[in-house]
Order: sequence, then C-alpha cells, then structure tokens
Amino acid sequence: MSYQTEETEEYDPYSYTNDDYLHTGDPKADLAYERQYEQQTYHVIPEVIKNFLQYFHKTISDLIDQKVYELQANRVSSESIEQKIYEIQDVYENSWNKLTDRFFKTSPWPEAEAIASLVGNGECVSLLLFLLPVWAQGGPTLDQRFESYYNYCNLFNYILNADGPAPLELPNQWLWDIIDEFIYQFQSFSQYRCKTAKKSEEEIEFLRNNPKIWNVHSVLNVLHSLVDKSNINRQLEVYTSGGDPESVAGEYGRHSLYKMLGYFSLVGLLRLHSLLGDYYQAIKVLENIELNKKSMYSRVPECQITTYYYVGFAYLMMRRYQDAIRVFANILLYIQRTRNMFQRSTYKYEMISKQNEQMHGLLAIALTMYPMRIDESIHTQLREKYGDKMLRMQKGDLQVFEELFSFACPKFLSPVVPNYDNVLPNYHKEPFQQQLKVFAEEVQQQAQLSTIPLLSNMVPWFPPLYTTMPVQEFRIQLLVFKHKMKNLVWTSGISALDGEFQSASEVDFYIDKDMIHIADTKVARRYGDFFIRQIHKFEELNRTLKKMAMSGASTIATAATTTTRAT
Amino acid sequence: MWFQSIENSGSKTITFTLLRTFTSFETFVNYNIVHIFGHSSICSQMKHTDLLILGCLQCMFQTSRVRHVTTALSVPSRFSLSSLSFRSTCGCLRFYRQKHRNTSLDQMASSFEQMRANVGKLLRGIDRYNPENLATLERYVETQVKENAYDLEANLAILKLYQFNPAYFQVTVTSQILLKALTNLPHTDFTLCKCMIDQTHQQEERPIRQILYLGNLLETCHFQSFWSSLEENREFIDGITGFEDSVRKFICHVVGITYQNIEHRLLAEMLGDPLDTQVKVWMSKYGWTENEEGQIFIFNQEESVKPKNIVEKIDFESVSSIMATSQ
Repeated sequence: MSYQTEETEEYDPYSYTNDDYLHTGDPKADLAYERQYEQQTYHVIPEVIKNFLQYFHKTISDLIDQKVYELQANRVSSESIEQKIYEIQDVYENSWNKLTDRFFKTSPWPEAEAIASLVGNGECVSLLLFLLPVWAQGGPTLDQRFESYYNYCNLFNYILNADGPAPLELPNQWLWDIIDEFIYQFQSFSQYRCKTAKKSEEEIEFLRNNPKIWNVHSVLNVLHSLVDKSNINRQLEVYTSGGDPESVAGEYGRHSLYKMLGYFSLVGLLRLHSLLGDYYQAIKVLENIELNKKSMYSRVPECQITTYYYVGFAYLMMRRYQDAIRVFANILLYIQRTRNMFQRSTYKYEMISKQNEQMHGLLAIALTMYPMRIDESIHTQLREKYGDKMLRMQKGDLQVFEELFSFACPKFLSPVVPNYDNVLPNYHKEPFQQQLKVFAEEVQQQAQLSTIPLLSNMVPWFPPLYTTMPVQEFRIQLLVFKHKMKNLVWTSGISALDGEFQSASEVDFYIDKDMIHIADTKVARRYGDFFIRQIHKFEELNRTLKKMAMSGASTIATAATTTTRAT
Repeated sequence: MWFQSIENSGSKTITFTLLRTFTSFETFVNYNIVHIFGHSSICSQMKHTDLLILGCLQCMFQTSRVRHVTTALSVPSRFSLSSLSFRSTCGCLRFYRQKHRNTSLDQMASSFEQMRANVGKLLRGIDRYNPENLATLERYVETQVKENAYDLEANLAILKLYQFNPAYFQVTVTSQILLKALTNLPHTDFTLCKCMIDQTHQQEERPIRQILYLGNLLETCHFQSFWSSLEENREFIDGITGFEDSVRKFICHVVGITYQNIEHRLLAEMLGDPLDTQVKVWMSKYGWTENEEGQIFIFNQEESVKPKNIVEKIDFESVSSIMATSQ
C-alpha cells in the first residue's frame, strides 16, 4: 500500500532530545539510530498497554484495508466497516480512558518513539499519537506544542491532499475531538506566546524564528479547506430544502469522514471567529444550519453544546437578547435531559459541567438586560444558582456584570504575533479587556433604567412612580427603554442572522403629550397542563394497583419500581 | 455676459453656434445649467429657448455631467416646449444614453452594484483574509460614503484585516466605517465594529474617540447633546452623504415607537432643527399630522400598547384523553 511506505521517509519530529539529529533519509542509519534510542528510554511499557496499542492499531489497519477495498470496488460503505467503526468508537471512548486513569494519571503516555516501534509507522501512528494527552503536569512545553502542530499538519495534509478520498473512516466523536482539540491547542498557544515574562531567552528566540507555527492563517486555511473539500455548505442547503445531499456532495463529500469534518469545521469557524471578536461572521458561517431543528448532523452532544454556547454568546454581544435567551434555554434543557449520558469520561463531563455553568451565567445576564418569560424549570435552576447575583445586577451593580461576564465568556485571543521585544505584562489579557469594555458600555447604557422602579421586572403592578430624576433626563430614559427593548429577533428562514425588530417586554408604555400610558402584560397561571399530567399519572398508578391486587404479592416489587419511576 | 450675447442675437444659427463654441470651455460646463433655466423670466424673453436647451443638453451629455442631464430633461415640461425637433432630440439623447453603457449615468448607478458584486467574490472563502485585497475594500468604503450605500459585511472584513495586520491600520477608513455603522441604527452594527477595533486605537486616535462618543450619545438617546456635539465635530462627517438624514431617520423611529402625541418644539429639538426646517420634511415622510395646539400626532399607540391579560386556553384534545379514561 503506497500510503504506508511514504511515511517512513518523513522527518520524524518526535524526538524529544534537543540534539540536531536530522533524518538522513538512509533507512538503515535511521533504523539503527532509532533502535539505539529506544534502548535509552526508561519508560517501561506495561503489557496491557502493549496489547491495547497493538489491538487498536490492528483494528484501524483492518479498517483502512477494508475501506480501500470498498473504494476500489466503488462502494462507499458497508456493514463490516460500520462494525469496525463501532469497535474503534468503543476503544476510543472507553478503554482509552480506563487505561489512562489506571496507568497514566500523573505521567504522560510513553513517548511516541516507543509506540512507533511497537506498531510500526503509517497513518495510524499519526492518529494514535494525536490521542496522546501530551500534557504532563504543568502544561505542555514549547517543544511539545510545536510537535503537536506538526502532527496536525501531517494529519490534515493526508486528509486534504491525497489524490482521492482518504481511505479512513472514523467515529464522529473522534472527528469532533480532532477539530475541537485543534482549535483548543491554537487557543492555548496564542495565549502562551503572549506571556513572555516567564520565558527563557532561548524560548523567545525560538518563537521569534518560527512565526508560522500555530499561525492564525494556517488554522483558518485548514478549516476553510475542509469546508470547501466536503462541499458541506451546498449539502446543507440541499438538505434543508428537502433534497438529497448526496447529489451535490462531490467526490469527497460523499464520504462521511469528509462530510463530518466539514460540518465540524463550520462549528470550528464559529468558535474561532467568536474568539477573535467577529460575532457577525461567527453566526454567518452557520447560515446553512438550521439551529432550531434537530438534524442528522448533530449527533455528537459536545458539538451541539459548543455550537449553542458560541451562538448564544454571539447573539448576546450583538444585543439580540431574545435570540440569546431562546438559544441558551434550549441547550440548557437539552443538557438537563441528557445529563446521565455523560458519565463516560471525567474529563468530558467536567468540560460540559463548566459550559453548563457558563451558559447559566450568560442566561442570567441576558435576562437581566431583557426580562422575559422562559421555561419554568430553567428559571428555577437559574434562580438557585444566580438568584442573588441577578438581584444585584437588576439594581445596576456593574461589578457583578463584569464578574459574571469574565467567568462565562470564551477565552478571547489576539491573532497577531506579539512583538517579543516589547511585551507588556498583561498583554495576553488585552483581547478580553476589549470585549469586556464593549459589554460594560452596553450595560451602562441600560444601567440608568434600573433606577426607575417602573421598569424593573420585579414589580408586578403599577408601582408608585417616584424618582428624583429631572424630567428631561427621565424622558430620555423612556426613549432608551423603548430603543433597547426592540431587539432583532429571528422569526423565520434558515440563516440565523435574519430577524425582525420585536419587543417582548412585559411592561410596555407609550407617551401621549405629557402622560405615560402603561400597558402591563399579565399572564395567568397555567394550571391546566399540570393537572392533566397529574391525572394521567394517577390513572397509571390506579391501573398498576389493580393489576397488583389481581396478580398477587410477587409483582409488588416490580410494580413499586415502575410507579416510582413514573412519578 | 455670454448669456446676453445669445439673448441679443436674432437668428437661430448664431445662437446655436455661440452655444457650441461655449461648450468647449470648461467654465461653461461648471455652470449650473438648471439654475439658468430656473430664471423663467429670462427664458421667456429669449426667442430661441429650444435651441438653447438643446445646446446645453448636448454639451452636458458630451462632458458627462449626467446629473444635470436628468434635471435638464425635465425642463421641457416646465416650459411647455412642444417643438417636434426639440422633442425628438431629447428622445435621441435618452436612447443614446441608454445604449452606451459607458456613460456616467449608468456608471454611477451600476458602479456600486458592480463593486458590490466584485467585493462579494473577494469575501468568499479564504480570500477575505488576504491583505492584498485591502485596497479594493478601502475603495469600496469610499464608494459607500459617496453614494450613501452600505455594506456591513465588507466593512467588517476590513476591520478584521486590520486586526490581523495592524501595520495596515488606517484611521480615516475606520472612522468612515464607524460613521456608516451609525447610519444603520437601530441595528447594532456600531457595537460589532467596536468589538473589532483595538483598544489603543479607540483611546488614542482622536477621530475615533469622538465618533465613539457620538455613538454613545445616540444609543442613549441624548439627541440634543448629539446635535450640539456634532456641530463641534463637523469635519468628521463631511463627505459622508446622507449621514444626518440617516440619524434623523433613527430618531424618528424611536419617537415613532414611544410617542402618541408629541410637542412640536420637543420634536424639533430632538431632530436638531433649531430653524424648524426639518420637522415638516420628516412629518411628511412619516405621515404625521399636526393639530392647532402644536401637538404632532404620531401613531395610535393605544391600539398596540394595551394591557394584556393572557388567559390559559385548554383545548379539547388535551382533555379528551382524560375523559376517555374516566368512568
């Protein structure tokens, strides 16, 4: 197989030693060196790990072989491939994490070299190495970051620059993780290079001489290429209008590898643009994805959650509070419902919990800026977590706003290579400061409104209208209220950028000469739904009891459990 | 002086020849032709008005002062010139103009559309991050400014290129982009732009700082302060066609959703109209009427802003299942 042999000639970037060994290109010499090096490593690889790696490698190799066969026979997918993918998924999600927990909690996995000697070279190695959680205690070193970058370059080169579609088929979860991790490492590196205070001269020199590593343009290039190659935008367009996406998929897009990578790259672009502060473009890249419908592309929960987090945040910064609230409420309900599915790995569970908290924070902010009704269960949860914070925000406490924003916002970054000679101490915080400032200004513009008791949503009925504001200023504040309460709201159409101006405020008013006419929206308590549900449950209970009475005591145990679950 | 000479000449041919000679002079071209026709007293005295008009039309057409052509073509109706030759010449001119797409009139109308199409292509895919495209995009902003057009996406692309390549940052272009964003209120384009402009530029560059201040005044509806500030900073908005009109449109929008009846004086203040010239214009645009007491009626807000009592409706389907199971 040609794809395997071409790998042996490549520069092996995984040498941790700092010596200047360069690949001579002569296989014998290199092999000799590698063997020698291997003997020097002090890592002893446990037998279990060896078996695991070999099994994993075999599975993927088999899959590749199968896929190549399929491609040559002009079939795109088949059952045996799906079986293999299922195995890989299982290995990836379960065994991998168990082994990491058991053996490598505090130390990193064995070096790439050692693994390579076990399983041989080839594309599989790239993929396996990608899996290695390279970060030892204390964060990755500069070398590790660089190597990781090269690793990704190899992988994407292989996927994008092959003559035909790459004979690879991976579980969606894994593909999402590849893209997610890619952007995360870019984010991490961008912040890392701005903190030059604790770096050695050597490191700074290294950074200075290699501006292309983790360059924003390369990251953008990768994401855009994946999107283009898979024709994902066209596919989505056709899909949402009810057609068959396969018809416009093109040679690459038909394979689920490319299709899913294309889709995940769109989410990656959404994330990247949000991190750079370009919210309009962030939502624009998703213009063909219907955010309000569940589609066949959204099977990976982390992808869903990340998407909605960034979309909600972008809406918030664009002052489309109603949209932001709707998006956050949706995704928080989703997390609530699927919470028990996430027990798989602690690392993922932590991440989702954190995003859950952040989204609650953002929802609290959005509701303060734009009071409106939301789902009861979410509202109760919100009041539990952020009840007192919301109270203080409603009174106009700017500091609480800023604290919550700092906690909940994404980690903004600057796309520019810093001037290493002259880096100010808090340079890495500047992008964040910038976004915070815009947000704070927005809050301040509405801050005065909170001092008017009339306009606070805590007061249900016609309040005593007392205020020490001069009439002129008061009149202006009324205008501001009307202006800010009219948000651009998405009503129909696919693109999430569309919208009409609407106001969903509960308290509305108009000014007639010198008189203010207030209109209050009173929503009566809904009890019908609740009663109907309870009646159904009661009926169920009754029926079960009757059955129990007839069939005797043996079924009591099972009946008991069913009823408890029903309530 | 030339006018008198034409007036005094008796014959048609002399009139025409004199006109033709004058068309070659630049000064003639710069003269506002319509202004001349406005002096109806002069025209009615002249014997050969139709020839005069024809000549002017020809001259304007040749030198592509198309704006004047359009106005001039409306002149015949004002003076009720009915000579056949005159009308036919006008017709020919119109046809000629339409046929030759290179004429300025078409150029102006389609130049923006063309640019928009070109720029749209540039912004697809990875090309939007290419700093070589900055020159085209900056020219596009110029076009927007001159022709009172607007393209948010292109402007944001420029700001992004400035973000990626700080060496290329230009204060004038950024100021123009910010001002254009203000013309699109109540959309939040201004906020979006702020998110992409570096803090140092926001604080240190004088035009940007002033424009941010103006933007803040508008967002907080301090309209009177806005107009007085604008007076002090007139130089920034010079050249931005239609800026004040757009701002007034926004102000009328806010007034429109807030007020049912408003005092004339108050409205004039908000529109920055000390001489009371603008109020009537905007009232007619929005169909607002004024009564004797000086109160302007905006909109029957009472219809839309009413206390609502949302009562729960329980429909039959949800209850039917209960009724079915009950004995």
